[in-house]
Amino acid sequence: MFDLRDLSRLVPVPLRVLPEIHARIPGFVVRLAPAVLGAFLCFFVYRQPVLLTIGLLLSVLVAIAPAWLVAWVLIVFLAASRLPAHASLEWRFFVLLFGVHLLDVLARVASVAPARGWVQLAAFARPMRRFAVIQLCVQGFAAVALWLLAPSADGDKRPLTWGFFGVVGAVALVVVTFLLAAPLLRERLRTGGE
Amino acid sequence: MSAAQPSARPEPIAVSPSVSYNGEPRWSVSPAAAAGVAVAVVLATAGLALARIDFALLALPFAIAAGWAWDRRPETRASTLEVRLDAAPKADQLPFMLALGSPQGVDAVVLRLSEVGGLGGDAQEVVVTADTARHLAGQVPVPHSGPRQLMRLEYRLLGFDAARNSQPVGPVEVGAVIRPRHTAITSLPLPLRLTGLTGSHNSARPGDGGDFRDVHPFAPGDRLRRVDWKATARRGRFDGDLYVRRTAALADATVLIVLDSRDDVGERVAEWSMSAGVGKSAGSLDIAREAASSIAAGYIRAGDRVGFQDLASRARMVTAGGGGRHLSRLLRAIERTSPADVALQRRRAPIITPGALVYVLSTFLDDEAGRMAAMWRADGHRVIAVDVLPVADLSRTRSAQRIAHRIVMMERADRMRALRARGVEIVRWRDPSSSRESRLLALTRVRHGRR
Repeated sequence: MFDLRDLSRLVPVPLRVLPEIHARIPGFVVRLAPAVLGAFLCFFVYRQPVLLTIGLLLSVLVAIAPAWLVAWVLIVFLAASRLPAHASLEWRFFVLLFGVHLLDVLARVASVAPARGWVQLAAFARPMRRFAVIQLCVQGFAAVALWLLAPSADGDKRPLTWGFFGVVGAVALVVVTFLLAAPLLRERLRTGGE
Repeated sequence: MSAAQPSARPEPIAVSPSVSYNGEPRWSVSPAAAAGVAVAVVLATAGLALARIDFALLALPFAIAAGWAWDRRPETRASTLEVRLDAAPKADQLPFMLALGSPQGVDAVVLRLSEVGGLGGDAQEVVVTADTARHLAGQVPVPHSGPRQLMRLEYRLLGFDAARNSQPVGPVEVGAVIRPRHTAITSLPLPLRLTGLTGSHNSARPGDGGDFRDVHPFAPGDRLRRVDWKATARRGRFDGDLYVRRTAALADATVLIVLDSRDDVGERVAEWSMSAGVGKSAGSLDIAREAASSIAAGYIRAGDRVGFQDLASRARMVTAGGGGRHLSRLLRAIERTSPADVALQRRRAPIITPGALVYVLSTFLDDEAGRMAAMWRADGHRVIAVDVLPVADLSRTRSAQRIAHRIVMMERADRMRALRARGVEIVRWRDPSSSRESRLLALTRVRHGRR
């Protein structure tokens, strides 16, 4: 039978010993954050009720059991929403790219946040800074790559082809080999080939 | 009657200054990081297999994050934890400084504080940045005096984006000896017989230094300057009769404080079991420590000699002495008393200084302390039994517990009555301050034919 006193086990334990950590949020909020973001992304990418329900169920599991790593299953599930569509330069893809990465960052923090404890807000600063750096690079790179490689939404206009990138890749491999080999050769010459 | 100067009520202080700990963290890749790598591999494979650049792009942030985290692995050197206790608690809260030095590459620390104040309850957990953990200030409740466990500390170090986390380090026990409060005593009962040739009390013997004693016919050995000419003119019946004014000799009192630390019971009767500790309210040992410290300080300040004995231990004994340093020694012995694991059964009462005044501080829930008090009284000592049992709180008790409590209290009342019949005087320390003072004042007026 449900006992109202069980609810008290969900309340964060007051942090009376360390009152000077002012800016903090309860651990359960941190644990809920990836679930809320996951649910939002499910509504964003899925229209079919069955898939939406599966996504929401996964989101609930993310909140209930962070240790089960359901968040990363949800990430793959959200990425799978791209299957019916074709790669194109559209804003929905960039939102998804942003969302799944943020989901990963939040799920990592949630995995170490104590359920009845507290998380100092400053503890989010470094992960969020790194998230911003990665997102800036990835979003820019994705925009260029999609513009060059993916067909546009209204047709199959594709400025560059895989063949071209095959040549670029081969040139890049030669450059990297030279960059790696040059210091080794220099070292060998300095030591007299010993 | 003797009066000690009332002193300002000093705050209790913690004796143990600091706790240092070097923890060797054991690092492991977190399941979350492994899951992130798995997502990157799955999406990249899907992109390759389906020739879909968008899948490959979705894998990109996960791959970059994994590579970055691998590059910034935390150092494997030890972390250092130092807890410095403040020596001045405020309102039963003991401030402390916590400094957790973590190696390079640590983003955050999960701190877990349990058994806070030795009161049990739920553990308090918080995730803070590594920089914050280097300078943390906090406060821990200290509702009780004596040797106390203040808290139990455990911590986990979190690496770059929680990709590599350490196993929990600790637990580190932080303890301190909390000094009991003093209560200024203004009325100090004296023993039946004062000893020594110096001191601050008037003895029954004529001598020098004390107050006026009587007018007595001149006898060999009396000094001429002590001749009272007015009394001689008034009383002299024959030529050559001389009367001298005599003063009392000085003497000091020897006081022995006997503290019964065999049990420590709190106000809540429901917690009077062998396993349950004293809760937030003051326990009998807190009261006993406060009473013993107050009595010791009062007599030492009055210039008397005070000794201390713990009924539960042969080791905790301080012989009678006087002076400021001896008071420090006494207070240190008193504040270190704690309930003994094994009850010490004595066949005879410990031998004490002849003529000493004995204070027996106990809950008198069993016969032992009362038996000792009766033996000392039978030896001719003045014995004052200080009852340190807290006011009982019967809330949350079952019917059987209430009946058991009533029986225990009836036996205790019989014991106290028997003690009173044998000449042992009784003071309840938990009475309001004015009532306790008036009782002590009444005891100072009892003469018992002092010699």
